[in-house]
Amino acid sequence: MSRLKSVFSFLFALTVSLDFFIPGKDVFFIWEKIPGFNILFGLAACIAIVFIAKSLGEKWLYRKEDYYG
Amino acid sequence: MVEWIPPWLIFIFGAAFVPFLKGRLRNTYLLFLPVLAFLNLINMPEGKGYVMNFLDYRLILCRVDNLSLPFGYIFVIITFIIFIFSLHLKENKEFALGLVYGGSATGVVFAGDFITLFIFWEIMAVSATFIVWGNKTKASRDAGFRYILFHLVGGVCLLAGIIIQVYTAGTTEFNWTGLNGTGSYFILLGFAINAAIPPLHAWLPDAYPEAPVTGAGYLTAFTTKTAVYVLARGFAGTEFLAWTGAFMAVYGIIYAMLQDDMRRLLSYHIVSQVGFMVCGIGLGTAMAINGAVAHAFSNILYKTLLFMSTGSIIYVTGKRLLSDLSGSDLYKKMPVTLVLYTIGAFSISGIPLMNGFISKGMIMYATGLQLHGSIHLMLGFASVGTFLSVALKLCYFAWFGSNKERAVEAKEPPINMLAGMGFTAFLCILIGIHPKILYDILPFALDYQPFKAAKVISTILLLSGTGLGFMLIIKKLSPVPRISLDTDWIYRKGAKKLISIMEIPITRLVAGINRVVFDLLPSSLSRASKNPLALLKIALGKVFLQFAAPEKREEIIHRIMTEKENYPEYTIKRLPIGTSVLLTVLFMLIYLLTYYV
Repeated sequence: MSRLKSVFSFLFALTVSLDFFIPGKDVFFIWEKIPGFNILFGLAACIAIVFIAKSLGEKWLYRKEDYYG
Repeated sequence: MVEWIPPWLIFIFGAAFVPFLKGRLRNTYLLFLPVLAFLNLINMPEGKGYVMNFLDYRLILCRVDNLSLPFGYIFVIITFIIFIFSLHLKENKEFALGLVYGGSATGVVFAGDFITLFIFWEIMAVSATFIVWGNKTKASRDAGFRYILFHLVGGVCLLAGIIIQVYTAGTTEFNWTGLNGTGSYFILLGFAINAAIPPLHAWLPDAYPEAPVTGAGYLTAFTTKTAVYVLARGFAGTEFLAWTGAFMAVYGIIYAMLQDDMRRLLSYHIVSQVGFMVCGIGLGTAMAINGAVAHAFSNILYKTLLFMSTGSIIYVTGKRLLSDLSGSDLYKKMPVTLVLYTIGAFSISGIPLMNGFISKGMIMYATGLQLHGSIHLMLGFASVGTFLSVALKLCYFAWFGSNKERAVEAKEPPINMLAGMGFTAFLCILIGIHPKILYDILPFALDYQPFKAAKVISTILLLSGTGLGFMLIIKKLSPVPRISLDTDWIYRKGAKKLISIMEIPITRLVAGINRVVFDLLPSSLSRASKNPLALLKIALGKVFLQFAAPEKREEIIHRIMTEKENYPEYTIKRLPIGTSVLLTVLFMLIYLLTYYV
């Protein structure tokens, strides 16, 4: 398992570094110029989605399974 | 000799014979029909065919062009796939319904005029309802009723719109309508219900998880995608739809996070994925429309694959909730199904070399070309959510999971189910690595490079960021046995509450009217008629009281009180009858005298 982890971390580091050097990016928006922007966006969006969904669920939307009878 | 016939005719006519066939003959026949339909499709020349006149209207039963053909192809292919997947069924009913449903969906995409379109639209709603009912549970029966009611409302909106539109435009032909005039608003409303645009989407996650394992495949493929087709045909470039689509994409993934039922979770992803398509249609450029059509094509493949593979779990284990499956180590017992599911999950997440990557990429690229920054970010957000809940959460909790004490009996599903899923997975990858097959059938000529190194890397980065987040907060994601409220609350609970709220004032009003008209009024009238003179005296007394000198007031008040106490008895002394006779005689005497004088 630790071996798998190290392989993944290596691949991960490789893609991040490639993002700095590979040319030919379609840049439409200013944030696309930031290298590695997508990884931060992915991480932030992931946590935001879970946070938004869970708090919506717990504060408002969750009901017991037999709610509709 | 007839070179080609309307493709829906093969399906709907073919369905009529299904009930009489059995065993191997039935299976051969079922697999032969989509093949025949596909050969027929390839043979169809572009243009309008089977034009006829009906009650002064021109009906175009078959309009073949670059927009209707891709939908036609995929509808026929997916029918073939679902037939393979459900060959183990003993009953013939679902096959016949599937043919009618698929046939009417094909009819909608090839209909060249509103009247033909409407007829197929309604057949589609009815056949889909019967497919939902196929599960024969109370839940599926109720969900089916809600489904048909919702779609009949949609149908009525559409019909109203069509009537107004045909009346004002003077033609029944179905072309680009755009948002102008009352008719077009009603038509859009009818289409929006089938496209499951929130808040009109609740029928979808309500009915689809209740459908049979096999029948759900048809549902995922036809209704929403025909809606995408009609929107692309009639409302391309309506900016409102671009924003609506982006909203749908986000709405779907947020709700999907709350679900415990596997197929309900995937149903919310249909809403989200259709959001991508609706967004592309709203943008309206050639690239965006191409993206929307390509995404519909890809979506039918991978979404059906996902429904089939989660359906296989339900078929084998009888369990549909993630909270019941988590920790049952299904990956050991159903490894092939797991691989097939993963291919579907990777496709929907848009991982490179899968079909989702090339079609979703086109829509994202189109938002970039038009510099729609916020829509671009919303769709990116939705992509993260899709990967998170389909490829990571559902996959982890259904096949692996942390609750290790659970033992669930399971084995691979029958070979025909595996074959159906395998073929779909093959198509997902084939289109993913050789997108030209798909690009060649799109409505517009295409200038798009999916496999740019930078693009592949940025996609991988986005998804690795998501994966990282998943590992950090995996504990938060454990499925909870709960359902979540959605807009269907309005008609499932709210309607009852509304009725009880309306009932209270109405019943009070009716009771009040009853009391006044039938009780108070007659009794007071009868009481008043007993001694109207006394009442008059009381009333006069009250008037006098206003103007009386202070020293007289006591006396008047006393008089009124006495009258009231004695009512309805007479307080004044009554004269004997003789007095009246005397007065009468006197009066007549005076009369007589004046007459003579």
